[in-house]
Amino acid sequence: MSHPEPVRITVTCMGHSGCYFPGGGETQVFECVPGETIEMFLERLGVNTDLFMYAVVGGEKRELSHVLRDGDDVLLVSPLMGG
Amino acid sequence: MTLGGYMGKILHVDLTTGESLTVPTGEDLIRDYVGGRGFVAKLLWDLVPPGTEPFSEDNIVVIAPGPLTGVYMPGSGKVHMGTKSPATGCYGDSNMGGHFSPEIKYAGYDAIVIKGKAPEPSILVIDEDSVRLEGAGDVWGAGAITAEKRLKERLGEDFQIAVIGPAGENLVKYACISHDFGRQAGRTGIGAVWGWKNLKAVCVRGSRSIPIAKPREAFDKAKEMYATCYGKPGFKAWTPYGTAEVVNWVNKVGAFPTRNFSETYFEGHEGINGQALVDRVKLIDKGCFGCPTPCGKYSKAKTSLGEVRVEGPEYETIALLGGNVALSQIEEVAYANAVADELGLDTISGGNAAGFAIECFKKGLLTEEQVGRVLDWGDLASVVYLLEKIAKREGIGDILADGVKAASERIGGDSERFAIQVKGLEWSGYEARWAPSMMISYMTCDVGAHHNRSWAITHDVATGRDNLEGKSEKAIELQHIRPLFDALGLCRLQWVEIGFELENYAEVFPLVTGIEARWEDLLRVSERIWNLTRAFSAREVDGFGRLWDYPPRRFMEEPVPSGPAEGKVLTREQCDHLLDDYYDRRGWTREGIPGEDKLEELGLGFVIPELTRRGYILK
Repeated sequence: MSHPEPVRITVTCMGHSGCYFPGGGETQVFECVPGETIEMFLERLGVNTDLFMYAVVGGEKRELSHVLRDGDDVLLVSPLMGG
Repeated sequence: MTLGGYMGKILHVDLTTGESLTVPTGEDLIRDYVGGRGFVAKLLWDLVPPGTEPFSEDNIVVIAPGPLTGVYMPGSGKVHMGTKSPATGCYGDSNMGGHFSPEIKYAGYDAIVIKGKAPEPSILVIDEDSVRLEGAGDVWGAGAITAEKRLKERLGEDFQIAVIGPAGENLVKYACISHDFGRQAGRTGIGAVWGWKNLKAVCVRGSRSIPIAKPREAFDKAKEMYATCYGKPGFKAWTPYGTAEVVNWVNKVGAFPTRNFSETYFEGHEGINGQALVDRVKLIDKGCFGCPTPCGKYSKAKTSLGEVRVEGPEYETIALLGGNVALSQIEEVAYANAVADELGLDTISGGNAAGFAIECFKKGLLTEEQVGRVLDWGDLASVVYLLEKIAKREGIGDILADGVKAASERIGGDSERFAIQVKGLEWSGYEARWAPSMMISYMTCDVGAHHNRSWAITHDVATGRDNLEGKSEKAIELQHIRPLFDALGLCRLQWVEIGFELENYAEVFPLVTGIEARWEDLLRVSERIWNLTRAFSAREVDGFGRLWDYPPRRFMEEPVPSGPAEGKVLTREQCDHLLDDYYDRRGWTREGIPGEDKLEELGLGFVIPELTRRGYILK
């Protein structure tokens, strides 16, 4: 029985949401479960998904329903902080 | 003494006599209040006689850049303006970007103080040392955008011009100051004070250099700051959309003003969100002086009522002239935005007034005969009709022009319950029945229901939206950080939008000014300013205090009817809990008046005799 290849991603938090992200908002490497979406990944870490508006993956805007793939460079975009 | 970042003098203009004089910018003023909002607060306290009517010769308007304004640095294009507000009777201020503020510095001034009333409609022309009043001529009565264009033609393209529209001339209590064809100091009715003073525009030109304490180090630091901004991971994600980016999120968390804040989730949000803006109306990005992250979006929109070009709409306008009146097409919001801009109306208060009127009409508190037409949600013609009536003070517009609080007192019924305001200033774009930190932020904001002193919804989301603990503390923290930008003369969007670090500002301030102040010292100044503006309102309003800090009854009595926040409400008891915590942490009395010990600690002992004379107990 073959084991699925691990999915490694880099995650960066934009703006102030890093205050509420495990390890802070600086770029970190995580290992994900194959088939996991960004939303599922955040929930697994215990992060409130409402803190993020969407993600930018490899330079493209993505919803939190995006299925993570090995090598994804994920920027989590938090809501702005008012004008 | 001329420190770096300061021009060394303040210009005083008496519109009644047409005379002007300059006074040195005092060292104490600089040390204790920094600039911008700090100068506004202190000069209002010192120069407005207690009990002055907002519409009177004794009321003043202060226009103040900050020490970092006009300096090579991200976001250094902001100006702060203040007056005794006709909307609230309290301390009032507002700020705007563009290029007006640096020009004041280049003309040689740290602030402009305007008092009196011109004998006829006039413009104030400040051409460095030449300060003169000119007849307004054909710009009186003109729209704000049109008037700015005509004044550029009259005086020259190199003048930077701030101007009011018909709403200001007609003393609409939420008339704004407009500049750069779409930037506004929108809040607290400063435009109406200009209108009462027969002041159509302030036109400034200058060519002086701003002294810098350590020019090489400041330049290198500023270059590094720009590079840091451009290198931020969020830079490319945020900039194309600007503040409209947040529409989906605010809706998703159940905080989007919808149908006069009766609901908090707008089913039509996808037609007015950031993507709709970019895909359907945006032509180009438009930034202010020194801006690396332009939030302005210059747009073209075609609707059934015609085609417009407008700077915007940005988030607040989308919220209040979109969801709050149920317009679900970005083109229609842009059209209403353009109408409000030309009339010189604050889109936040204007959108509130329109939503309030439509709800009154739907409930039968206003009739077709009283209004002059049928009003309906989602009807652009209704919204435009109301904005124009308000600006001209015609019919129903005359009632709405005094703000929703005053309008509810005239309309009666139970309309006071859904007049969405604090202290008489209409609520901006974040509904807060399920966001206690945001709620206490609105309740205690020194100018009324405005979001920009403390924006704390992410804190609510992160720390639990149903518990009240720590929520007032966060509001206070933000009420010191965010308004500090207004004292420094900076835009805070680089910090709030892309996470540009506050430490940068702490590092650059001494390089520009030569003042060895740490960030903590500057935050202390911000706290001093916050207490002084509160003291000013207490001085000016009989019985000021706790009662002025409650949200509208809708938010305390009506659970959100549907959407993500369904069933949520913050009761009066919960609001009292937040207020008690807030006052205690601030060192204020439980009536919401700064305590004697706190005032002394902040070097504000000079306000104690006046507050005591007014009957406040400060222990």
